[in-house]
Amino acid sequence: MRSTVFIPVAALAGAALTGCASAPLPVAEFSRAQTLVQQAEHNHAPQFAALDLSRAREKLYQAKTAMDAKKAKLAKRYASEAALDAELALARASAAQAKQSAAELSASIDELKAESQRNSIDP
Amino acid sequence: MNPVSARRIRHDLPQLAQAHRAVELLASDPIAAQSASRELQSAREALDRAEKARSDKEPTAEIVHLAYVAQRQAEIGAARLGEVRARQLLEAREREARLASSEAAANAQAAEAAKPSRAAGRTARTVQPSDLSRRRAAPVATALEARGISTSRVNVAGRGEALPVANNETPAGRQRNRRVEIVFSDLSGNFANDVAQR
Repeated sequence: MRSTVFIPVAALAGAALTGCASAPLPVAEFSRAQTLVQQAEHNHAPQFAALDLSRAREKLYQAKTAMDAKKAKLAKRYASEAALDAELALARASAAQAKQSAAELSASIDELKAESQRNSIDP
Repeated sequence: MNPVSARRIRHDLPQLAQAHRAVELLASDPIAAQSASRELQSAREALDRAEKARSDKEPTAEIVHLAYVAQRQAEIGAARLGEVRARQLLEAREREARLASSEAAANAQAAEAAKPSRAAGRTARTVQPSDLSRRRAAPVATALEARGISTSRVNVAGRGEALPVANNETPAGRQRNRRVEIVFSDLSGNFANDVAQR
């Protein structure tokens, strides 16, 4: 009695696993994630969004491992998380750069103003 | 809200709760609808899918993944808003800088003559580049002299837009080009050839 219940369940689980394994590997998603991580690397993310970038790299590595193991679903999940992490790194890096430029410009305006004042007082 | 869903919320996954907070935070920003509408929409869609996965009793890993997607989308949107605000500030500062530099140029027109060259100031594009860069370098010479360096040992020169170190077409590049370089001679007062031309 017990075995008659068990066998179909095991068969079902087996079928699910095979279904998983035979699903097409997310090649496009993976290469998109790869591209975004490279983009982040070349756009000051190492300087301004190091944590997000390292998360993206880690996920990309996990995606690669899953790809190699032919675990399509897992690979897709990791690839899409890697892509998002890289996008976030890019967005944060460019926000940080804009902030830094504004701050530096403020500092040089202050300097210029001080100098200008000095010149007008003591020509 | 029926009792079933109330009980579910108590059992909320922390990742899902976190994603909800991130999305709400983004949605509450007054410029989100205008400047991060795409990100906000993607975040909401991912959140809906996460909630659906939860009520469909899908594996936790799937729910957590969808919550992650929602949270990251919301954070990307928030970062975009941060950039929009920083750019607005930068533009305002650039207007202010143009004003300040033309004012400084007017003020300093008379007060310029002597001081031969070194402490070479560099400038990004402005009204009178070499004039401005010289005024940028002058305070450095003044500071050195104030600390006991003889005036005869310090030369100030403006190099204007020559010798850029970064792309002058972007605000960040221009900012890098606005700089003062201090060049030291050797003991007999000579500079290396490539520096001597500066």
